[in-house]
Amino acid sequence: MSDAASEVEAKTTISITIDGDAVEAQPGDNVLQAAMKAGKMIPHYCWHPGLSVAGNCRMCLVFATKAGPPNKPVIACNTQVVEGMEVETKSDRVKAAQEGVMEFLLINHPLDCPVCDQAGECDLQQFSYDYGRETSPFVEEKTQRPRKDLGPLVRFSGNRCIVCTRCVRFCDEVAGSSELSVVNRGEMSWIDTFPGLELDNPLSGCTVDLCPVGALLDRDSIHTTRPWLLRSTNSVCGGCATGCNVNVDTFQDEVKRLTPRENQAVNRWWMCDEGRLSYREAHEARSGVAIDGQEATVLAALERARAILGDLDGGATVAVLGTGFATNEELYLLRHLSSDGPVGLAYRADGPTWTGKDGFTISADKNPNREGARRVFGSSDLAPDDVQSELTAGNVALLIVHDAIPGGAEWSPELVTAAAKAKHRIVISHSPSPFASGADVVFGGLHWTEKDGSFVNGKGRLQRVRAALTESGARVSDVEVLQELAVARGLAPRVLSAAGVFRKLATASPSSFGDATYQRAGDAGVPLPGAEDTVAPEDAHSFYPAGPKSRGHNRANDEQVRGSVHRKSAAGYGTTRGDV
Amino acid sequence: MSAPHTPAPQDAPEGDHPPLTASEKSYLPSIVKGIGITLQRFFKPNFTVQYPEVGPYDYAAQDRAIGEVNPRHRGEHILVKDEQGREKCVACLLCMAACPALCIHIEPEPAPWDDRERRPKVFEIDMLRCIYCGYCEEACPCDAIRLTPKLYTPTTSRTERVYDKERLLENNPEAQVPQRPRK
Repeated sequence: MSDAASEVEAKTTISITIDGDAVEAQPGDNVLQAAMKAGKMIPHYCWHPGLSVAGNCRMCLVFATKAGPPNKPVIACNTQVVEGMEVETKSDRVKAAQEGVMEFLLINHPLDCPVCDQAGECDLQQFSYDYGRETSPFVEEKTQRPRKDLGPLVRFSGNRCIVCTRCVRFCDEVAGSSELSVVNRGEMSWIDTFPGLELDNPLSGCTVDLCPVGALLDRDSIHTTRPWLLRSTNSVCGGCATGCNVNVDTFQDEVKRLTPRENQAVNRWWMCDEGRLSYREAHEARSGVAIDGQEATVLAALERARAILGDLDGGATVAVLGTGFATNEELYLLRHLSSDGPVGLAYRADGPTWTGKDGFTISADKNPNREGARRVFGSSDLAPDDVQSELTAGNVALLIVHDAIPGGAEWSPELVTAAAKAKHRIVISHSPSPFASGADVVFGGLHWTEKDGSFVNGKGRLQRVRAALTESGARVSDVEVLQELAVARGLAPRVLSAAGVFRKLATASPSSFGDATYQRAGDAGVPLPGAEDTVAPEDAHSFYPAGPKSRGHNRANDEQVRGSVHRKSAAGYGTTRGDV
Repeated sequence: MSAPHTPAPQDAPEGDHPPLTASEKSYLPSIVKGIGITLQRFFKPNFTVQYPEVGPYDYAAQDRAIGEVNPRHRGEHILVKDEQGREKCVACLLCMAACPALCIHIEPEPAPWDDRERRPKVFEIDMLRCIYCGYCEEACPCDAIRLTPKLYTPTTSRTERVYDKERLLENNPEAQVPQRPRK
């Protein structure tokens, strides 16, 4: 090796100029990466940092010195940065090249944005507007390519496909299942599954997020809403212990879809199909509010619960039952309420585990917060046996059941029978619970899409869950109910927000939660002491967010638009109140 | 004309008005005069239009006869049907996005037909909110929504002013409120 070569190798960064601005690039980066890390957008379709370079969309054409013949455009995605390279991305000749590429991409693309679900978050639409030409001299017939369902979650609309092969590479390189391929040649090429195969790998929904145009669409939410109407909330999937970062996209107080949010420490840019559909549980059978089996208002139920707690003796035994779906805050409040009483925890049964080719793992543990329970209670294996024996012995004055598992935890029938021996019983349950019959008070618990709080994923990363559904009607948050109980018992002076509860929790158990705060966890999460995952929040986001580059450009997050006017029915307009 | 709330000058002399005569004090001549005017009206042509049973007065023509509404008048909406009697609307929600009064509510669903992908499951226009600006028909890529010269149809409740899809599809502009023949 020559001296010059070893000198280049020793250098940690490479200095290049992009449009006259000096940019420090990492060795091995391509021009596109270097530009985007420096906050300069180069339009592209086929390139994705999680996939190999294909270089077939030609949208990222730039002029660069030291990259092949002079005065010849090169694709930024497949040009390595070289010391002293000068790149131009905005000059007239680059613009002409981009316009030419856009024109070719749009030759066979139908002008059906009004009926295409991608419209509003479509890179082709956005880049055509930003970099394209207004007109096209193309007068010939556009090709017709098929529309079909590639798998249970993905619909393919051939006419819209620009054959960037992101989906093909995703199935090859991330999912490892290789169902997809480009079939036919030239203008008649499109994406299809191999004969006899279906696009049904556990990550198939990610191909929809990767698709820069509307060729692959989510069958689950197809034709239900428009991207610009969606209100997006940064949250964490409650489907398993992996804790994928997600956007919860809602409209009219209904979750319309979950899409992955980038977190290099957890899920990179992906999420599994099972998690993607887990939002449905938020709208499935829910528990109502009841007093002594009779339907009641939340206020009356709270009043009754306060009275029960207020009448308890100071030394009375309070037993609690919790689940692995409860947030850390709820678990802490349950611990607080039980004082030294018996505690039982239930979990959703383990499911299949799966690991993709790039290391993405679907956890076998289908509880989002088993690790959190371990950190709050010191052990996650608190079987309800203790509670059951105390109940059978008739020692329990108050049993608090907090069942946040959608569909309900699998409580043993003996435990449910024994629960009748408790003097009082308060149930907070997401779904109708076996403990509800004979309970003094029943509260309808929240789904994780409705909650504010935090989960600790299987690798010990504390991540924020945010309430995406704001108007939960007659429900009141679990954290609030539990705190009302604690106040009535004289254990706490007042009701705090979830953040306040977490502060108390972190102060009470510094060995488990360290100096973590909501602020520090932010959108990226923070590793807790002793965690397997040690990626700092600052390093969890790369320069490349998940989803189309144009996602969120046209979102109507305006309170007025989403909240007060676009209602589910005419009865919600407000003008009809007290009418007829 | 002075503003009605202008206070009288503070220094106005008390006896500014001439004293009333005996007949004026009785008010009788004024009452008779007023009743006379009322009686005269009984024998003049009727000015009032029994809207909505009959159509509106044509103010533009300055004519007491009942005129027709200007064909360019922007009145109630219709949803246009195609040759097969289906709604033309593809539920793209662009009218909903264009509407400045936020009076349009649409819920799309996949269409059962081969020739198009989506159609509206719910299409509601709150006519009370609507400002009849016509932006919706301007935004529509399918010519599926139009404003007709059909005038505001009075209702006895507000809920009736929220038109659903069926009503908008059947909202026939020809079925204008009955017009009284021009004299």
